[in-house]
Amino acid sequence: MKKPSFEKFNFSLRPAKNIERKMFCEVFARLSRIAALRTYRYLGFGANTFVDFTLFHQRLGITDMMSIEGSVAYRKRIEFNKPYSCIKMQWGKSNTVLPNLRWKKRTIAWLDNDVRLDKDILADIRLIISNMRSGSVFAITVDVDFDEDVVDESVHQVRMNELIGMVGEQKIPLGTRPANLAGWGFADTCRKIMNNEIDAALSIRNAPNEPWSHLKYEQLFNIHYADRSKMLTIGGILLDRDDFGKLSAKDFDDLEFVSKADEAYRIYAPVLTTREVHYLNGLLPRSNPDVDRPTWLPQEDRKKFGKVYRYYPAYTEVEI
Amino acid sequence: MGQNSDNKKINAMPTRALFVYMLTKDIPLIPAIMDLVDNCSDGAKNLRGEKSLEGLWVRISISPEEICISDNCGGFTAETARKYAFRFGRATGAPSITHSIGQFGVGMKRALFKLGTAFRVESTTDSSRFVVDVDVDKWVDEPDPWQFKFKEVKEDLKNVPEENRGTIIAVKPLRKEVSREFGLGNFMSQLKAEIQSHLQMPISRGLSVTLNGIHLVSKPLMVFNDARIAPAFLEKEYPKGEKKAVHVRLYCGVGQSTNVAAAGWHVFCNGRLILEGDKSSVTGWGEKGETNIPAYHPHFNYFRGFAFFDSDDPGRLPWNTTKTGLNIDSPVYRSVLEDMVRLMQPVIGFLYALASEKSETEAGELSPLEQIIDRSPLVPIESACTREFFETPPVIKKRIPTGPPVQLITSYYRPVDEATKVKAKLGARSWRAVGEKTFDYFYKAECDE
Repeated sequence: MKKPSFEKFNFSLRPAKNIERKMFCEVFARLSRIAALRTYRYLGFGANTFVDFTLFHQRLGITDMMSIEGSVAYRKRIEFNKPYSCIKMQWGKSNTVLPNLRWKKRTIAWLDNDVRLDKDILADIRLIISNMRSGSVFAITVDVDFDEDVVDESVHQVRMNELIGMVGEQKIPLGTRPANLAGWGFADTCRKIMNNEIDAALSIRNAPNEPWSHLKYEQLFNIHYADRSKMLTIGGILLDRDDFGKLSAKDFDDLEFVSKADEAYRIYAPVLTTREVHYLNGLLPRSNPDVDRPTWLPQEDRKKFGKVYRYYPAYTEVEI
Repeated sequence: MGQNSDNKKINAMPTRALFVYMLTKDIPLIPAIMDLVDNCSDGAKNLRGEKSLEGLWVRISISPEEICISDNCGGFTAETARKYAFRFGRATGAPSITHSIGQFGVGMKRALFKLGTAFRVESTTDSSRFVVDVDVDKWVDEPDPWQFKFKEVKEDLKNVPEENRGTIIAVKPLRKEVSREFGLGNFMSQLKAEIQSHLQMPISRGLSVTLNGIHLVSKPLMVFNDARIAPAFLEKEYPKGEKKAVHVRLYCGVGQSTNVAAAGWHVFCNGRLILEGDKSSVTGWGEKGETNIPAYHPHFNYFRGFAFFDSDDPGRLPWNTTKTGLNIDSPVYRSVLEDMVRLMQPVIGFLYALASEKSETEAGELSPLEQIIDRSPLVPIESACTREFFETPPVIKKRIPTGPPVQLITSYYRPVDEATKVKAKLGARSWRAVGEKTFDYFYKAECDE
């Protein structure tokens, strides 16, 4: 049996993911322009650490929380680790749990997968877009790393065949060439595939209804990061005409990591000591995030830190 | 000036022969007959609305010489015949029947042309009676304009008794290929089965349908109805709240696996069965791997899905013009298909669990999920107790009985002198002890962890 990824890593120690989570929190907080955050439901994959649940409960006050968990064999251990009583567990894989959920409440859904894109994930996207009500936000994370042991001249075609195996030939965007799958190109292709699924589901959802009641999807997330494997998060907000008047993607223009474009925002988490972090924090914020001191620290790291310092995790060992 | 403008006109008038040819080529024989029978059941619905159809009948008689379909379902007036019923294509302003099947204004004519070369339509209502007699071959050669003529017509009748109101449609002579089919026993059995399944809703509401004197019965759609495996139910309207909206009801659950034809999705439009036991991508099965729903497999012989589309405006329903299939590009159908797939997922999960349980169960024994199915009542879908979501019932895994460790006997032949040496070396007293001690020696050396 394949071990769940939380057995392999401690999620809370993955700095880029940690930063992404806090960035999300800042975006979700603005949903209060549409409706009070306590009226929202959070839907996620809490694993056994529930770090996202803890953050969103503490910061946003959401109490209707649902964690989808496929590792049924770890049931007792995971139940034990639930940090708050308001978290309800839904046991099973997302594509068996999601079809049996109600969608009357506005939802923040973050399907934080640690696997590569496949037909089940596309079905999850389709289902969420077909059912989520206006004012809801969804984000989906997938692994976009081929992780090969050997890279030789056949690798392009091998990757292409793998992608076809994952999502099916008819989902490969027109004009995708095997060479497009190199490096972060694989992420871009996966994003296109997921976006096509969003567009298709939304078009089907809207078609039978009057134009005034059509829902609009606005992209908020197109994020790349790599704590180890390359990861991609995409997502956005679903809005009807009323909600669009209250909040839309342009209301996030001040947040650099909110991306409405095809170009992804890359989260870098430079490796710094606690002393260095404190020192750099003392120089921030600045209108230009390029901190010019200390010169013995690589300029690239100073620059990267300047972009994420508000979200940068502080780790320390504590004797309890 | 006038002559000049006439010179600029190009004749695009269709010929009657083309119409007869084209119309009859795109419909198979049985659906053509169904079109005529649908008119009878539409008449019945028009008379009674939502009430019982008891007392109304449709009689179909078929021989290699003639087909005759008669009913007492109210008939249609000479005025309707004059203005709408015989026109090719539905005229704007034509009166519509609530939840009717007729929609395109082509079915009856197409069927009549398909079946034979001459037909007679006779209809009586409370106030009118008419007869139309047409020799198709002659009509094709007639000059313009496009029209039929009444052979008889009376429009000032008063209080025609109810038992005399109705329609008789007869086609004679039949086309050669039609006549040949009508002489085959297999064709008649197939027609009977098709009418029974397509008209199961009106028949179950009391409409009496006979085929050559044989009374046709409806086959109710059955599902298992134990609360733990009861079907999921979903109701929707497109557009919401409008008077002529398409009202959709979906049921998804499990039924008897032995009836393979009934497995899959059944799609109805205004009570008429359009797809029966569909197992293709049209109803969401992943034939080409386009969804995460698998392709149909015998594991899913238990699967039952029912989709009912009803509307006062039949034009909004997702069927094709021959009503033999779905218009899969219909926005309503595409949207409903998403829900169908959503409802399928948990049922398929259940059927996988069932299949894997079966594979772990000894032959002749029932697995826990099979036991639930085995004890569950089968009920018609309309009277089933439904729930919002289908969920796989939690089952307690059978405990593996603990007993003494299983042992086996092994025996082999070896040369006597070698065996005697081993026996001496082991200090063993019996040949059995030689076997055991050599085994233990090897196990300890090579297999012990």
